[in-house]
Amino acid sequence: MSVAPVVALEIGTSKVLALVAEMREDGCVMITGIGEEPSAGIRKGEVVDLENAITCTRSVLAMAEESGKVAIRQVHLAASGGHISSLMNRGTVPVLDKDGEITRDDIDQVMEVARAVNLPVDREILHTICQQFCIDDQEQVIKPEGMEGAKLSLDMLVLHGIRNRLNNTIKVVSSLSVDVQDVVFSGLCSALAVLSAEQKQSGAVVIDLGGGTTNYLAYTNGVVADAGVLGVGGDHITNDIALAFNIPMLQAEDVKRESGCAVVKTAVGPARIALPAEVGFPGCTVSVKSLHKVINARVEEMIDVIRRRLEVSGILHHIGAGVVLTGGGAHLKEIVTLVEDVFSLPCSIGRPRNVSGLAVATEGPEYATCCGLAQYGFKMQDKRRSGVSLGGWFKGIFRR
Amino acid sequence: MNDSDVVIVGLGDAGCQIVDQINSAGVGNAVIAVVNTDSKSLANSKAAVKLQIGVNHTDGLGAGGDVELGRRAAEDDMAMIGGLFSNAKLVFLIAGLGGGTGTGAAPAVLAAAASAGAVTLCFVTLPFKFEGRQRRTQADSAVVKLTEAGNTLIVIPNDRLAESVGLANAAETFEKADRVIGEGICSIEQALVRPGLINLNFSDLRKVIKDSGGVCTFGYGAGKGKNKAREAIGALLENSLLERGNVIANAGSMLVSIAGGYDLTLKEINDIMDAVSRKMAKDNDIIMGTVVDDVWHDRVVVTVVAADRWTPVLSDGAARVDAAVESVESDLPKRHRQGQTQTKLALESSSKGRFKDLEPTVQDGEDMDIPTFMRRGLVMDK
Repeated sequence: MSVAPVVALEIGTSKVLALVAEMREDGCVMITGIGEEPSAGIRKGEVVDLENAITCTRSVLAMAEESGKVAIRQVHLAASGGHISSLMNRGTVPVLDKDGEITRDDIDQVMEVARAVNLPVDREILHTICQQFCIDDQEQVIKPEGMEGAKLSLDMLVLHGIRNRLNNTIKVVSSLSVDVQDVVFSGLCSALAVLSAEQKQSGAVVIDLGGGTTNYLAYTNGVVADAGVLGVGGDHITNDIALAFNIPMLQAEDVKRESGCAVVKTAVGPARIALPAEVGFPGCTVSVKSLHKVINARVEEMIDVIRRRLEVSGILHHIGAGVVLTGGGAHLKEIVTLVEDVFSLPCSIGRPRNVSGLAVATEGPEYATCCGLAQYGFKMQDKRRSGVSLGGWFKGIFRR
Repeated sequence: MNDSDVVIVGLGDAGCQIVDQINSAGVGNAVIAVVNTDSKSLANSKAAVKLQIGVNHTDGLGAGGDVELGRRAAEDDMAMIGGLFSNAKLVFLIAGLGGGTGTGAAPAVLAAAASAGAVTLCFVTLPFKFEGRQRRTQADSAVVKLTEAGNTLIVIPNDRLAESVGLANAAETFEKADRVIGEGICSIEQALVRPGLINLNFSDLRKVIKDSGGVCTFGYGAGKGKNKAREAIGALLENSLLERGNVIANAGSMLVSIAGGYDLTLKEINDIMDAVSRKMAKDNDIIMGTVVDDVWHDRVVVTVVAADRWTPVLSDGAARVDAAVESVESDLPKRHRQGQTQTKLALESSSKGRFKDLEPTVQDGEDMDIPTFMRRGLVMDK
């Protein structure tokens, strides 16, 4: 194997997942090892109990080492949390050449200017992603080199998060004497895993319905045009159910998984579900209609918040290929119907593409983030080897 | 107390300009001083005492919006500033918050005045919206800092001020705004210092300010000629500084100063007080004073200092809506509205379940951690 294996680690709110991935000769990513455990010490995608998070991550990495038969020294880490957001920054430079011909230097210069965004001191840039160029007043220029103009502008999508919180997640890994090679926004990973080139070109939104957060990322014209995090996830649905029916979280989680539904259906099947008694829980029955009402209200709200955000950034009308759902929340029954209703766009469940190997890891939408992270890892390795400057489409400026 | 015990200090560019307006309005023997880092602004001032601070750090060019620089400038020249207050019993400090000198140096100047044994009263303006978020943030944190240090603040948001003077051309607007503040300060100063028909003293003012938690709103209405009292009331109640009377309606306590010439009649005073107290909630304190001087011949100036709860940023929009509602309801009896904004609080802590100790996820002003069905009021059959 000419390329070193990549380990993708996601410390999520509901599960900690590590995938060991290798690059096959034909350029396909193969998953050779997996470690997974319900997570501890994480709420809304952020560390709230460092010790438990470390313990949990340690055993996940050990499992992955065993199943992938590798020694894990370094990982790629997926980052999430409600604090992560994005902004569009436009940089403009005058064209230096006397005849107004745009050179490589001008392009490098405008990239630098567009990247230099003023963030509050506690924030760190995660990714900067080039959008289309603009020459004088001509928008939507893809390759400006050699063209003529007086000034060259470039929009840069800047993804940023609060430094301390990102560092807390990194700390979980580094205290296990494992290096973090790169920190990548979870939403970006999911999109990399599930979208095809055509979908990116005609515009698509990936919504990753996680346990603690909901990440979204939109592609238009083949470029990441907007991204963000809503600090509301599957945990909130469970919490709502627990509060609505006065039942413990554990039972609420079970009933959500077993009988949950994103739309309120007019009665087929039983009207009430019996929850069996357990230690410390006397057992009860809940109305199916009420259950679905609770879930519907919450999920509809989450999806609508994202729709509104995309509307504000003006890209809702540039999404031709529709919405793709990933994350554990994509297992919720009728979620596709609900999203189609809210967005008035076609919706589908995303599964990792161009990934082979362990079936369990390549099938489910909840593994999309890690699969995408592995692909990202190989892409960056490629670039490093071939000596291409990192100023391209993705750049993980964030380092420990 | 007499005039010569009073020191009026303008700090920073904005402070200097307002003090110049006070100067031209005339305040008897009060010492008028300007303190600034910018030598040019000092040179243009007509004040009797001019102090340039922080020459070592700024080369006389101003602090350039740098709060830290403003603070250091004041600390450099503490001795000089302290000298200004050696005989003072009452100090008015006037500063524009949001820039460098006013924001940075104000705490130090107030501390110097307090350590000289003077009572301080601080008038600060908040920056215009168009001046940007950063200046607003700087101003907000300065207000918090100043009140924490136990100072008495009267806050004047420039946006409301601009509304109250109307939008003519920019230069005129600024000059007029400065004059409005200047005249208001003047009338308060006079009411406190001069023997009037009905005396005000500083402890009255103190009481009002204490009620507000250290921050007050200031408003102003003037009238002229035969109907001067009615004109002044109209101007006062329409004044955007007081959110068109809304602040008066909600104020816990209030100080009213009426300044007029020797032609001011008792009936006019009565009319004004009547109108103001009718606007106010019944059981609230109102303290009044009048001052008579020929400077105000054929004019009457009503100045109000109201204990208005000051809230940083955001709330502005809501306040405006309230003001609109208020003007519609103005004929109805007024009632306390303090309870209205808080109805949600009781619900929150118990309804968030496992998220109750976490930082809330807020979207469009809604706490998303509270179950959606609760916020939407959906009915469940259990």
